[in-house]
Amino acid sequence: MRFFRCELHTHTTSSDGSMSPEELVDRAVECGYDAIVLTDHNTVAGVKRAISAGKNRGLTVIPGIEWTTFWGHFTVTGGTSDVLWRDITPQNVDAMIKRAQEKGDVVAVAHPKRMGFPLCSGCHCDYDPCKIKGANNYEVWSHYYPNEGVAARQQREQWYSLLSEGLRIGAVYGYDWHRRDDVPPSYAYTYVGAESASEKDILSGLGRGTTYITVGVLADCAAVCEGREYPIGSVLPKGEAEISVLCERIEDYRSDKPDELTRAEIRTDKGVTSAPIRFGERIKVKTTFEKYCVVEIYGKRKREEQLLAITSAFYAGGICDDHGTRRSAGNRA
Amino acid sequence: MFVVLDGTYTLARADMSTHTKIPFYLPEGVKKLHIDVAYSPKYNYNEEYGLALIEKSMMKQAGEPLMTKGEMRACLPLDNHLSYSIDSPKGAIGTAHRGNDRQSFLISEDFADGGFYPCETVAGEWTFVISATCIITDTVTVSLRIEAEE
Ligand SMILES: [Zn+2]
Ligand SMILES: [Zn+2]
Repeated sequence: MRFFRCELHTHTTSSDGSMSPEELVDRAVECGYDAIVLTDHNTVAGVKRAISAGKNRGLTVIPGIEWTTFWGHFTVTGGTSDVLWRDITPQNVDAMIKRAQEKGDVVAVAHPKRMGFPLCSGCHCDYDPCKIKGANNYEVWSHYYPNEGVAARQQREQWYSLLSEGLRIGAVYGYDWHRRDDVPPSYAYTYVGAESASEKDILSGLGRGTTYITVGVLADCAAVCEGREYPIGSVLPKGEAEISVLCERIEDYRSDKPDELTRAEIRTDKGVTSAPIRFGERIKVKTTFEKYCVVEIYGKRKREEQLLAITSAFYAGGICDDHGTRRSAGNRA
Repeated sequence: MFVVLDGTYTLARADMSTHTKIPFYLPEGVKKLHIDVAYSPKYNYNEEYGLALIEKSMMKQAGEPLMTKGEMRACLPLDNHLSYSIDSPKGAIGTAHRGNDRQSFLISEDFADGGFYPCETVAGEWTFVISATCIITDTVTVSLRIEAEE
């Protein structure tokens, strides 16, 4: 398994984006993505063209849609479900998420804490938090300056509170890519762990929650438990593991690059362990937890210490299948 | 070419977050639909109202300031946002979701644009759906004209 650079949230002229599907694909190739998901608002009209442009350019384009409802947005990845966005209501949104997943799609809560009405009506997630718990993933970071500002802080807090409840919900970033952005302000990548960059493999990585989000740092993390190594998103046999982390620079990251790393934080439901970390040096940290274990990487960027990367969680105990995946998690039962 | 529908529809603030369904009937032999839809007003130029609404909504949603007064001012004027869907007798054929207050669409078996899917323009009952994503004026008037080409 390796990690592939993905953008999971994009728009074209089929909705309110300014790039055609072909332009989006060209730009994504220039920006070094291995795979993108096309998630136009409430339509898949651009998907065929994007996939065929992707085939010509060697980029995996995964069909998707952004359910752009009056009460919140979701990226739905895979293109197999038949849910019509207009049928989604605050009362049935949980069942609609489940239905999309049963058909094989992966659902992420999009920019839940972005300001909604009257600036971006529907963008703020107004659904009862209980009703969206079944989503596979959560946009902890979104759009420009993803690791800065109030919305980013609130999203990270809400995501941790979902993990604290014992939910197994992955961290993803959504660029919410609408225009060409030759010189992008600060933005992030979602890296997805998969066997290959094929649609099937990336989808299964997203379904497992083998992801991390980053502004300029490659974060190779794994957990060793009872002599076996597990990727991010795994359910470990028990909540006792050695977390191994190796960080490198993303050389072609186009915004301000991190100058140096300062520390890794191993954050669990039991507390936070901090360990110094430098580029190119693998660290190993022992930890115990009952529910989740997340790795955060901090470093200096623009001379200020910032949060640079967040992994999805490793989960403790509970029933898991042979692959240690979180498929059988309680929030999916 | 003949006119299938030519109407105006008025939505009020209370219609925000609802779908207005407008049925229309296609006879046999239609090859192409031309749709023109526009709404007005697009903007609410009342600055005082706009700033107050942003501030109130921000505190309700985030519980703390997300923006400075200057940043709020940069978001003005507030605008209405409608999105449109079409259902053919065989099912939904897509949605047009964008900020433009004036849009035109073509629908035919081998070509469609604006967020819609190419589809046979079969005879029967069709529906044009106006989804009111945001209404920040007392009323918003939508004019919709659908023409059919044989
Ligand atoms: Zn959105
Ligand atoms: Zn979006």
